[in-house]
Amino acid sequence: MFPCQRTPALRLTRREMLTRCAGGFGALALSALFRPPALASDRPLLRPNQLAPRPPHYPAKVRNIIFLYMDGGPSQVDTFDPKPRLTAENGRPFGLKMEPTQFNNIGMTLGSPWPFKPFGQSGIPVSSLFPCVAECVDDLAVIRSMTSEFSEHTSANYFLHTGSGLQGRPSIGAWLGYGLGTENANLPGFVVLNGGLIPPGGLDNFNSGFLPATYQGSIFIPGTEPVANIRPTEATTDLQIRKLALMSKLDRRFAARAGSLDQVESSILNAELAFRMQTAVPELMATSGESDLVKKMYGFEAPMPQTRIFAQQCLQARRLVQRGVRFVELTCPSTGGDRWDQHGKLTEGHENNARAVDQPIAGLLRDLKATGLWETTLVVWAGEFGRTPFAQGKDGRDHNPFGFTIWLAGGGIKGGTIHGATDDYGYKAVDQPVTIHDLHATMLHLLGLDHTKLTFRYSGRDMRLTDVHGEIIQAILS
Amino acid sequence: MRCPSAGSPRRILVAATLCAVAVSTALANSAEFFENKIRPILAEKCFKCHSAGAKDLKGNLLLDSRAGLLKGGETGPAIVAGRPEQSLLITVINDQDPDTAMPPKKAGGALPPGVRADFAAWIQAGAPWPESTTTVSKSPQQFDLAQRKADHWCWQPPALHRTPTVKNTRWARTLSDGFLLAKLEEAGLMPALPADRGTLLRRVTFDLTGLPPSAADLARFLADDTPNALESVVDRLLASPQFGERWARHWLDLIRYAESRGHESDFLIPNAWQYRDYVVRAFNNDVPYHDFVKEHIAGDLLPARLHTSTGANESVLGTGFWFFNEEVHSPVDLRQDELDRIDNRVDVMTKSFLGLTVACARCHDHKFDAISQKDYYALTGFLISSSQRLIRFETIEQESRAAVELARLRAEINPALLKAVATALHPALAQPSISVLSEARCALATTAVTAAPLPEHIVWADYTRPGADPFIQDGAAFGPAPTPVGFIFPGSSAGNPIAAIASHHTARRDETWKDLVSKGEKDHGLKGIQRSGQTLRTREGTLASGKIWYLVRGAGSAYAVVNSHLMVAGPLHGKVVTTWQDTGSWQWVAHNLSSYPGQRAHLEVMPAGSGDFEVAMIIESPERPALPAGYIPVAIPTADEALAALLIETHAKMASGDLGADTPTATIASWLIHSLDLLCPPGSPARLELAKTTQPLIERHHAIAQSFQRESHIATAMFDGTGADEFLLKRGSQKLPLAPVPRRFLEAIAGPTPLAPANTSGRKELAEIIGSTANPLTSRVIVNRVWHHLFGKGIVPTVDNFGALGQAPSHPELLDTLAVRFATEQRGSLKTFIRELVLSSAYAMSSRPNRANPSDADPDNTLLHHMNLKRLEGEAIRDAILAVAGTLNSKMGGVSVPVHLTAFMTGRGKPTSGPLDGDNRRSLYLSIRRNFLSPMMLVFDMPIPFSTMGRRNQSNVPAQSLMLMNDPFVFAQAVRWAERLPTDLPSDKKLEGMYLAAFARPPGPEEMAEANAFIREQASHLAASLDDPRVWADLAHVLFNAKEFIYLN
Repeated sequence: MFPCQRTPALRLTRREMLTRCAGGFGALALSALFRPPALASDRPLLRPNQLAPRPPHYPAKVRNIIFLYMDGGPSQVDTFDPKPRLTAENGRPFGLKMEPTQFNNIGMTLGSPWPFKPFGQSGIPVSSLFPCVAECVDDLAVIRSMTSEFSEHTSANYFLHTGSGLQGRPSIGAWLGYGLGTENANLPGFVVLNGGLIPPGGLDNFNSGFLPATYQGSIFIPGTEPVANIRPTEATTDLQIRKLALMSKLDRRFAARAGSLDQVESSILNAELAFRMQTAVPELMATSGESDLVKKMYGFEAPMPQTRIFAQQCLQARRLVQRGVRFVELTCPSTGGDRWDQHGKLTEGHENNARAVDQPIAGLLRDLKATGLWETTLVVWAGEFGRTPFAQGKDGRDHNPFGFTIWLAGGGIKGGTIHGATDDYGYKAVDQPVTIHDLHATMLHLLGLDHTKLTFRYSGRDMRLTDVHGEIIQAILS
Repeated sequence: MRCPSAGSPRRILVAATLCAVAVSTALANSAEFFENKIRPILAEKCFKCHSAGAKDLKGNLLLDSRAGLLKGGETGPAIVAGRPEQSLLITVINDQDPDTAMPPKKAGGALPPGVRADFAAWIQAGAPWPESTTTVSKSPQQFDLAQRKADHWCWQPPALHRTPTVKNTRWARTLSDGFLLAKLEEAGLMPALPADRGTLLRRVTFDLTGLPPSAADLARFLADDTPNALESVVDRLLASPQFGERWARHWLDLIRYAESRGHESDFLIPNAWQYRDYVVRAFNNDVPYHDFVKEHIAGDLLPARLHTSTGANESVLGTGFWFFNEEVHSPVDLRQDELDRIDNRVDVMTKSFLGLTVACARCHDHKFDAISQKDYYALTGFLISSSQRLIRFETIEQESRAAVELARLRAEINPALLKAVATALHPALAQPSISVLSEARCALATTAVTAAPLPEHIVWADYTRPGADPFIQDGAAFGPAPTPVGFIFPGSSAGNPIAAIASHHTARRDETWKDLVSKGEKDHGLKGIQRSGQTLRTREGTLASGKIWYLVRGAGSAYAVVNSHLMVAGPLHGKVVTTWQDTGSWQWVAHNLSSYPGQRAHLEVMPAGSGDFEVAMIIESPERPALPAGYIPVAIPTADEALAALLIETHAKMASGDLGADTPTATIASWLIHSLDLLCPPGSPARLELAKTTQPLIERHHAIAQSFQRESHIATAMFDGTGADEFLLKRGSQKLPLAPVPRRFLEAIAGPTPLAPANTSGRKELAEIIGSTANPLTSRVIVNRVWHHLFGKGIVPTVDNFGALGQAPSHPELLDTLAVRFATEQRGSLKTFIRELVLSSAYAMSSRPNRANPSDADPDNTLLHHMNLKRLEGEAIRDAILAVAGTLNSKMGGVSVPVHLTAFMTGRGKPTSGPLDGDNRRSLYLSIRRNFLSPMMLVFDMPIPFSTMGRRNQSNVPAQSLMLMNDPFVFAQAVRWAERLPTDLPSDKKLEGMYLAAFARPPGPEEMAEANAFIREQASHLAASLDDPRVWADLAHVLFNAKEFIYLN
């Protein structure tokens, strides 16, 4: 049915099958139960075909990606792209031709309320919104000439996540699962750590589209049941194991009778994986084993509750990549305003959002270095678009896909770099514009995948994450 | 590159460049100049996309040789030697629009002015290219439609093939058996043995109804040893209403059925479920497939197929499928949004009905199939020519009939009514008294207003003369034609036999239609305007100044449908809807659409409330128009004698039975009618006589006026317009429009002749071609889909793509023969076709290969030597759980049950959560909100509704096991099942009953022992008796989790 399914599956002979299952589910599952917490270095117990690790197209720079998704669109001119001209012309009519905007409520030129200062050896300027991230600035490659094609959240979100503004395409995390498989058979390969907000466009930002459902993002939510149906129905493990043991016997006979081993066998394997996930997932989410010092670095003790939520997410992100989860996306916690989407009350909204994520992000960057994961992990910080340098109404900024800032850090990235530039007003990218397709091509490249070769035949076309576009952003690579 | 004729700023730039040219021509004629100034730029900026070495040659344009430049690409020659001002190359390097300019942003964007001047100079000098190799180095790959058509099987008309001769004639029961067996025998393979009877019954019951067989069904079938036992089962299943529910779900996968529009706020698609129920009824009633297809494309334009018991218009409901696409929340660029929406509609239509990927030809000719880019835009024209409405499908037929009958009756009785009223008025008007004259003066006299001519304007609709403009409406409220001056609306009582007299030639809402009630979900965002059954629609046009003026009387609303934008939500486009109050007289209502200059639009106008409502004309003008002559109040003479003469004259016209067609007379007559009580008091002999004379006429009128239901449900449907052709958009970009492409079907099938007649979309003609039994694809595609559902794999495995990139048919002659017979002999009856397939030997095969075959024979089962194992769909799994647990609610149709929301389902537009058990309804009836799809359906591969998905994924993920193991719904049903078990039965009997229910087979002896042991262990663990329902619920839960439960073998 799919190319990946067409590859010869692990074809067990009937005899091997029967031998293998003769021990029954209980024995297998119980042994799993007594295993130490699954770490990336452990040999996974099972590798269902679609998830089996596959080699990249060429040697990879990194193994995992952590995507810090800044829902709503942070303002470039208030964070990483200082524009003195805006301050100079604050309150005056805007000096450039303006494109149509989402709210069509265009105000005057709006200078940034936050001062900028150069940091680190590189001297990259960062506004006072990000005091902690500023200290890591020598590790960042700041792209100031990012562009998108959509002014509406939902289309822009789909575009950022799936390379298409339309609903229903596979998310980049799903493409990676399809291209590379997963390193940890006890966990999904694409995890979304939900801080409380689901971006416009909903769960389809994380879906597998036309790729098999195996690759869709698993949403982990805070609380006692991070994954849907992860808590056993049964009061005790014993009760469940006995059920599963009887089930296994039924399945064994059915597989023999039905005559199609592949399908039924992988279905049985999935049941076993599901059983193990019941242990692996709660273990993963529990951060009790981490030192207080580390937790403090992430912001576990920060005064703002949203900072503490995002600190949890960042620490869990590190634990996930440590366990070989390929693509981890973090969504923002709700700070009461409307994400980073400050159509009004820019000062209050951006300050709350920045305070929620600044310390945890810096903590994550430091911890990745401390735990030796830096070289094998790519961190991407991006919103779906930026904001207009002119005001919306009096004190807001509208959506701006024509030029905005994102940054990358970690393995394969040349830290302390600024790439591209916007015009004097920070409105449109004028030097070395970068597209979302370029970003995707670069992300795949760092994982050893050629974006023009990672294809899936659907509806008569070899579909690509980057469609027919995308150039690797060589200038930011180390 | 871009059309050189566009845009004036560019011309200025070219001129500026030419000045530079004059200086440098001599120099430019040297080899050094070329090697230093031209070739390096070409190599650096252009060769990546425009040279023989290009990885992906763009625009079929080669810039690596002089010949290539002269020959040019898709848009013609790149240069005209010696004529820089005519050279496209110069135009594009001077283009200021970064989206169309060359070199593109990627290659560094615009060239410095000096370099541009160099190129102009070089061309001026004749574009010398000092090199001998001037041949075009690589011939660009040509799109040859005829060749592609000739080369690929799917374009050839299917033919009937003779059933091949086979050895095992006993096995070959049906036509398809013969074709299959012939290939098996040729390959030396034996078909699998027949499946055992329980397996077969389970298979056919799920395949035809999506539900497991009941214990009674199973017992009856096993006891029936007559040769036609299976036939009776199949006939029973085909006749059951669950058949339609099952096959409707397959269909919904094709047309990306959804009940909300997704995107940011997931607004409702109003009354989508009416379409779902229409599909269920169509399958249950076995509507001929080709008719069903036509109804989808143009059910609003074809003769209506009526619901057999309610008389509702069924066929129009089919057109709802067009609108199940995603809709964007407040798009900044309406035109781009439209192009994307229409792309999806073309995609779904061509994949579903034709198995073709026509939407791949949006930006360029199809890379592999005989589908040109022109084909794509020829089809999109049908869609921009039509729009959405919420139709009163239950009463539309009654209403249209009533409107026609009323018009006929009025023509007959109106003169008599007029005469009768004239007779009644005679005593008062033979010699009008002073008091009558003073009443008339008081009512009719006005201050004089001078009429002014209309400013320069564009006419969008003109209802002031017969036939001035196409008269298009939703419903029948405005009658079969505009209302002429002097037209009489009969009243509802004989004492007042005339209700109104039209004083202008207008589109006027008929008195009879004032009390419509439309039930169902309304359009989101249209500010509550009441469109259904009472909307006038203008022609399609292009907005100029965008200042629209409606000449109207009465309270109303207007909706400007700009680029077919429908979901009027969010900050940007609220201005497309406007509403106004009744001022008691004629007025110009302004509608400011100046933010949409140059955009395609049509306007819809409708009354608000039940007062008089008429529309004279709709124009566009930057200036506010004054009321034209005839629309300002009539100036009547005030002197007694003159006024009396006028009343007498009017009365005489009434007495003649014909008022004529002038506004002053009609205005006075209208006053006379409304002053009847004054002029002919109730109870007077004349008034009594009037009632007596008109009584029978008014009764006849009343009977027709009451002949249609005022209350109707509404459903999303197509609304046909006057027709518009779409431009061929170069590279699919709205910024690069070439010539319009006249509407037609695919050239490879229907030739290049345009289809669309004047003043309609032409969908009707399109429907006739796509739904034709002669179409080479329509029948093949559907028989293959049915085959796929019954055998687990299509004869063409890529069921939605019969093109060159699809898989070839495994049994081409069989496919063709089935297609031809389906279209002719079987008259498109899906039930007949399905019946034939499930009664074949092939369908009855076991899923285990025959032991006589080598174990590695035909591993992909291409030749169908055994039945394919099929995983049940999410819907069938959930329905089976309900059926087996005995909780299934068999209620059919209606509004969907909201999905039960889990903690994971959040986001904008979050609906109210539904019950955990979904009211125990079949899964078909769970709501399908794009952003809040049922987790259980999703995990078991229900397609995300974005395009046609004729072959679902059959994924295998741990989430499926987690769902069955730990989802509260599944366990709750296990408990319900256990509670239903008769307590007085011995364990063995209980077990047998449960296995029969779950798997359509009894447990084997070992299974019995294992299950009994399990029961004992669980009981002891729970310290419960062996009868304890908790113990049995655990067993029920295990059976739900067994793979056998979710697979069909």
